[in-house]
Amino acid sequence: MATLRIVIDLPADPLFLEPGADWRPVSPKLITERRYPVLVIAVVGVALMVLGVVLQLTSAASLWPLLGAGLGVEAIALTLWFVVVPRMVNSWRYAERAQDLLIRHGRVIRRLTVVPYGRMQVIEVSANPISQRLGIATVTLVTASANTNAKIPGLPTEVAQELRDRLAAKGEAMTAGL
Amino acid sequence: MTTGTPEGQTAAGSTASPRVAEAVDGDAAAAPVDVTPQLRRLHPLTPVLRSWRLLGGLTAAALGLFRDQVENLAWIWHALQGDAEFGGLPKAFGLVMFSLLISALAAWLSWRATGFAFVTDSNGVGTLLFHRGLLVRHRSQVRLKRVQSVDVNQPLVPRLLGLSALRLDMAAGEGASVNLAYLRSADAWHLREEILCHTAVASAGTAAEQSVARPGIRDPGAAASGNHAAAGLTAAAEAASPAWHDTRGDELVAQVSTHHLVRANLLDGVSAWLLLVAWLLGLVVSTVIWGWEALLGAFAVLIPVTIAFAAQTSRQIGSMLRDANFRLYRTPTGVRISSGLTSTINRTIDFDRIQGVRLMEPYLWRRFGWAAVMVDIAGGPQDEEKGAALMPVAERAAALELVAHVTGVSLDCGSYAGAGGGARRLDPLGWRYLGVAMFAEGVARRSGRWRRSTAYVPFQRVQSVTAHQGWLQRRLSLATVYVDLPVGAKRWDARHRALDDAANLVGELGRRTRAQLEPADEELVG
Repeated sequence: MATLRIVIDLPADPLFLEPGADWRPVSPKLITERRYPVLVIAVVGVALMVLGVVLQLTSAASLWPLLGAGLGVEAIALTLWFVVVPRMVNSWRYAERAQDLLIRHGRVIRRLTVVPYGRMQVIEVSANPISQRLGIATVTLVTASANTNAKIPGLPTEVAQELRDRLAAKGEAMTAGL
Repeated sequence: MTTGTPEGQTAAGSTASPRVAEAVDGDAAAAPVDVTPQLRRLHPLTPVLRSWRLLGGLTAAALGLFRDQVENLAWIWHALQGDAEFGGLPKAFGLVMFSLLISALAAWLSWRATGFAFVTDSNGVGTLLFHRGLLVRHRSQVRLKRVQSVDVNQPLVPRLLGLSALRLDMAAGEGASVNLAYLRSADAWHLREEILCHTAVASAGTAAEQSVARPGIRDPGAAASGNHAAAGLTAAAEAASPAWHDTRGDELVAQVSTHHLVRANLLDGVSAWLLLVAWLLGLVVSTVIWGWEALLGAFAVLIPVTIAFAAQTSRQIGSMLRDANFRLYRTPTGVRISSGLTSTINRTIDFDRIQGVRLMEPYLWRRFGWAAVMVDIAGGPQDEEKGAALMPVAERAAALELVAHVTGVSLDCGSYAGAGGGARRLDPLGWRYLGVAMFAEGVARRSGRWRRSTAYVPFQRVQSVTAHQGWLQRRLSLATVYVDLPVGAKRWDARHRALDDAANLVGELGRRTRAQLEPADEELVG
């Protein structure tokens, strides 16, 4: 599953996908990472169904309410697994321009963040245990504003490190104060 | 406690030898940063003032502990007659005395552990060393270049004793701010001058640029000087009369008269009063229609109404006390705000520390042509909207002049482009009042059907730009553009822009911000 790559081209968009910029996607491994929580939901659904069966066998309780609920949860999990998570991950794009970094994501609710290199205070590279196993990392840009939400998840570790170094070099050349 | 009172400007003269210092004798100002210089103490009355609040809390706790006895008035009667066992009252009294002693001791020890000093390195860069903490020691080194605003505050009790607190706001927010409480007022003012010299080292270039770039700046009050009697905003216009200077040599730019402030405050809170009137009317009407039983029923909501009423009243009185006696002075590099009736605040803001300016016009104020001006400062007080008031109330023209004075733009002169066509369906009441205008050095937006506000942000202050589009906005081809500002400043938002308009705005904001960044500034924020 990890290597399954569902590439969905984003529709042209003058605001959120500025034409001309070199937009790069994130690693499809992020789909795997984001599917772990869905796995938990799927397990809960299976547990509900099993519970229904067990209750019917041991007592006179009806099978259908719990089985139905379990099937509903499974349907949600399948939708998340095959449709929502891949689409959400595929909507992440970032572009390094000469003087600023663009990050966009979201399909239904869209967001674009523009961070001038001169405003970067800290560049963080972080990876949780699952990301580490998958070999991906998150690059976060911190500015003096608490509202800046500039985060690129799911970059292959070496890409993340290269990006960090490039950003740090550019930031050093252009840093300005408050 | 009276070992030494380093109240004077020279630390060497004091006999106090703080335990924390490695006792380097000589002039503190000449000592290099890596050697701990002689520390200066806060005023010896500080522990008393500090423990005052603690004592109040402890007394309340003690009263709570012995509430049964205290509440039982009969018990006191019996005690006076010698019937009851004498346990409770002396015990409570003893507890209070004991806690008083403990808190005074703790406050005194923490006062002993608190000290500060100014050091200047060979480059003339000033640093404030601030040592505090009895059990957990804090050693702060504050780069004076980074100070965002300098306040000299006087709460009521210290004010009666002639003491002041000196507060330095830092960009990193509340936790990084330094509050030197308490100092003798004269010392606090002297220190303020000293600190401003150092902040001015950083900003002198910018200030000079600004005065060159804006030669046409006049006094904000000049426009209002013609009708100041009616407006309540009097001004000392440079051209008309010799400028009025206060004792510190700063020039008075504007002041707000009490009756103007009170009227504006009452108008601002009029909705709460209307609610009260409506409730009373409802009471009368229901009594007339349904008789006295209805009146009793209506009294059931008496408590929430009373609470809301009391909250509103205290809020209004609080803001009136805070803004009373409001005076705005011009300093060489910025402005100084002085206000307060019982507690006084003196806040000094350099022009190049201002992150954004907002012009606020509540509905009822617009009828009288009044407006308030707020400034955003990095690390400034976030809790209260009015805390950052540059002008609590003024004639609109004067307020605009003031904005022009601090930012160099005339907010009314911009051409405000309206929101996208679909905005009417998302915000049927307010969409008409949304607008964005670009200026040479910043961007402004207007919004608000009832409470109109115009927010201006210089491109220089933009940290990042965010565009956001919700599901409904996408259906209507709209997007909201945010400008992210440093902590302490209100986020700038342009809601419901048409899509290509938003794209232009984002592009333009990015381009102009980069243009500001290009001459790499050496004043980095560490």
